[in-house]
Amino acid sequence: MKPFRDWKIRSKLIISTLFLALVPMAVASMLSLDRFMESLKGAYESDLEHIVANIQAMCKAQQELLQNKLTGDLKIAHHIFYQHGKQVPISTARLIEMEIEDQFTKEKSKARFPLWVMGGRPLIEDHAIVDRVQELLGGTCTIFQRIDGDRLLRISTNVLRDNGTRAIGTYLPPSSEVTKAILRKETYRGRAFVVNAWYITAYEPILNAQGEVIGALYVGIPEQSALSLKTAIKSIKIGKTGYAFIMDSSGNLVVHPVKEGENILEVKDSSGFAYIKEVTKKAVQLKENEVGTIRYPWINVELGEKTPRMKINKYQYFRDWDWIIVAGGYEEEIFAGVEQIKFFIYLVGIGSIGLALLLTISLSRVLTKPIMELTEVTARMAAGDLTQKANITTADEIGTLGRSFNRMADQVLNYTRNLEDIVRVRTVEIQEKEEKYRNLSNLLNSILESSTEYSIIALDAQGIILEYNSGSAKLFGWSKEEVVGKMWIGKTFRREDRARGVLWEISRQVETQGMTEYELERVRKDGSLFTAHAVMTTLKDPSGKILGFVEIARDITEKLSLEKELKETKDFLENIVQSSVDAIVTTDPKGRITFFNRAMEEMLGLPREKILGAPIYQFYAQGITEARKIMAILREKGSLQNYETSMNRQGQLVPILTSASLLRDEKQNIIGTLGVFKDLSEKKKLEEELKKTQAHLMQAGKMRALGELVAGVAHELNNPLMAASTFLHVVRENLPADNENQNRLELIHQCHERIAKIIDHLRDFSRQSKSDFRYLDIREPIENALLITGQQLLNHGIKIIKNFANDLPLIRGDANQLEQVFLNLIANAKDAMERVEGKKELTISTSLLRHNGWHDVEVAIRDTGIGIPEENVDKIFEPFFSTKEVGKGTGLGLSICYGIIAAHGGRIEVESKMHAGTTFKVILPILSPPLQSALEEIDTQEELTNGQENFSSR
Amino acid sequence: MAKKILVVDDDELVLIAIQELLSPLGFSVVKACSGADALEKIAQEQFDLIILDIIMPEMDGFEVCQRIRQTNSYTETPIMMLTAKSGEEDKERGIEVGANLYLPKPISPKKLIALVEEALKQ
Repeated sequence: MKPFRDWKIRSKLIISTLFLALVPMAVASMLSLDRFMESLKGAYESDLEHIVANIQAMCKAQQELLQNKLTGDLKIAHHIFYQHGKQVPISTARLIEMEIEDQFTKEKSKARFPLWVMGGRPLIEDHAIVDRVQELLGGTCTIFQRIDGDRLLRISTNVLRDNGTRAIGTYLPPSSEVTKAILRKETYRGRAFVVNAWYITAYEPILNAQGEVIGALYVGIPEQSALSLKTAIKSIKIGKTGYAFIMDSSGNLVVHPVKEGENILEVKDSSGFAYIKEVTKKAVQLKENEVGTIRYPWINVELGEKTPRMKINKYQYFRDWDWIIVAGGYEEEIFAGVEQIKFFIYLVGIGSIGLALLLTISLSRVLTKPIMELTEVTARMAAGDLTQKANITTADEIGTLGRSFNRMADQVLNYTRNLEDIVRVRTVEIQEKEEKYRNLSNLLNSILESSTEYSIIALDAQGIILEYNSGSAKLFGWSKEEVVGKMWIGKTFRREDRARGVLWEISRQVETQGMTEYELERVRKDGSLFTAHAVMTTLKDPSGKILGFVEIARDITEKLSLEKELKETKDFLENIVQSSVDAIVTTDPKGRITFFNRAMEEMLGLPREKILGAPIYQFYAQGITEARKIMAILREKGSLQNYETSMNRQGQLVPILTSASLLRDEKQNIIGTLGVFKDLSEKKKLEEELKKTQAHLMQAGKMRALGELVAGVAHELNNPLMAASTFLHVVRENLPADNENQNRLELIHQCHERIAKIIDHLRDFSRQSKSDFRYLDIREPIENALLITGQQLLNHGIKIIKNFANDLPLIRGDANQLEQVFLNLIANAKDAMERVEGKKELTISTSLLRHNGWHDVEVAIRDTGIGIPEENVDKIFEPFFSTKEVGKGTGLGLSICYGIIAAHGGRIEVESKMHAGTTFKVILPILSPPLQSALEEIDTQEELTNGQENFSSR
Repeated sequence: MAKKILVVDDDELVLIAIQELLSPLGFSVVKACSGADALEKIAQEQFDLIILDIIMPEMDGFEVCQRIRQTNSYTETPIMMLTAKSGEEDKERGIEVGANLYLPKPISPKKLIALVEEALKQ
């Protein structure tokens, strides 16, 4: 027997299915059937028990109901009985003779007993009471009288005999339970046979006044009223033929579907066993809710049965009624259903097995067929026929397998077909590659050799030279033969470099980074040194292992020297540009500043960052309009020369002279502009100064001209005046002293004197025409003036304070004229202090003033006099302005002073406070040489023309 | 003997005025209206005092003075210059050319008389 593994799939499947299907099913069926039967039985028995219990319960309920009713009924009967007469039945003297019948045995006998009367009614005749009771309650009512022999005789009743008459004259024998109870003075409740039927009854004793039992009162309901109960019980069906019945402990069937009323005590089962008797025996011993069980075989011979069938009965005992409640049926009926189920299961079982087998067989076929097919196909393929295809069309996994297989087959076919092609192609490729390789090799060699400027050296991992081109020979000096196969490259490095580990560093870098670059001095064969720039790379195999190195180097000594030269030139040019005093700036075509020198920074007064890249128009005073103008000119003419404009130095205007040109590249495209800005502020300043001085000089000239005029006039006036006063003198001499005209002549004389003074002043005024300018110390004219006036000042009590600064530079001026000025000022100061109370001080101080780079000498003459009123301050320098009284002062003094100082290029300033004092400040410039020489020239020219003018005015 | 005074001035009015002034004082006043005229006159007679105006056309007072001084008989004669400009220069120049006295114009008669008398006192 082959192991399961090797069985065919079909067999495997079938057996597996069978096992899988059969075994569980069988087992399950068995188990379940068994279980099922057990449970059925259990259920059946349980059912029976329940039925029996229910019946008892029903009976109990019924009983209770009836008992309750009867108890109530009895009470009502009692009530009616006693109330009716409100008395106890009276036993009269009248005797009744009648025939009485034992209720049970039906034995008849004669009896004689006193007549009872109740409420005047003879009870034996008057049945009003019992009828009333019946009327109210339904049921029956009886009045019993006790008669001889402890018999209870019905004297009034509505219990009927079979013939419908009242059952009067029937009696309960003393053996009756009822009688016994009554005689015991107990109320009897229960089931009792009354006359001819069973009743549910209640009897109560009737007592006489002495408390003796004289009779009984009865109410009862015929058991028939429990009809519904009986009907219900009878209708109980158990299984197919099972039923319930009730018998008393004597075997009388109280309730039975068929044999009601019969006594079955002696009934025996098919084995001859008096099972009923057994049941009665057992039943009466049962406790209240206890259930008894009996099984017995039974054969219904009358139905033609041949074999007995087992029956099962369950029973309970309802003691009160002496009812044995029995329920049961054929045992086989329990399993009736089971048989069906068993049959059904077998059917289904076999059915499914059959089905399973079918399916399995079909499945196995479905499975094995494609597999067989595949097997065949592969066999054929293996044999060489690659065109085979598996014919598998299912959509399951095998189908997938089949399709995959087919695809694979296709592939294999293609592959084999392609293989030849590939091989062919590859062969060609290899040949081509070999050729390429050869070409490359040649190319490489030619590169190596043609590169005479570059040294290309290949070394192996140990440093042995593999390749050495002609460039290397040229560079280093050694020939190829001297070097190849040897460890040589170290020789090309300087000893000092080798000592400090340069070679080690190079190899470390090239190993970690793959390449390295270095500029070092290398050694030639002849020992000479040159600077080389070299790159070294590694040669690696695919696994990354280093096979060797390649160094490519070139001589950069020349390059370095060129670079050095270039740098030097650059530095030189840069120096030139930076040290230029003029600002040099370049812009890009859009006008943004690309370069500027230090002078530009200074001109703009801004830090580098703010200038670089800024549009240049930002810095022109006229902004973008100016920039555009300049650009327009540049474009038109190509260059701009000596163009005057101004820069905006943070709000300040800086006049500049600019020259600009366009910068072009080799293709003549405009790449920017170049501008040189010359700061004209100094020049402008000088120009301003010159203008000022010229103005001054012009003014001075004018003054001079005026002076000339005045001098001329004065001169002209002299003679006539002289003549007039001389003649006057003569006339006065000639006239007597007392002549009336002498006064008038005196007045005329005074006029002449005034005229003379005026002419004098005029002459003074004009005297500036000839100025004798030389370098002098300002102290000289001051001291001279003080010399002249000193005594007089002291006489007037004026203190002179001198505050002369040391080291004042010399000024250029006319000593006489300056002396005159100071004399005038001192005189004025004296006059101002004339009538002052308090201190009289004249302070003369000299100092050096500095402003805007110009220096002036200031002479301040301060008095403590009465001061000048504000409204006059502006006018004091006007000719002929005088605050003095008529005759004192001509008002020419200060205007003459002003003129003199103006001609010196200076100015006079006055500060005055009323009653505090006045300060006159004479400010004289320290002239720069150019101006001085200019002035000298003007002076010379003046002198030349002066004489001529004089001549011509004559 | 009355002293002789020569007055040299291009202005006629001045000449008359001085003559009028000095003559009553017993001086003999001779008028010359130019330098050339003056030089002629001093050749003709000896004067005790010469009064010269400086500003004159053709020959100014300085030159006249110089010339007079060059004349033999006038090396010691007092010469008075009438200066229209009151300048140091005039004085200096005057000293150079040999003048003794200076009288600024406009001339006050009293001053003129005083100076003349002083000049002629020695």
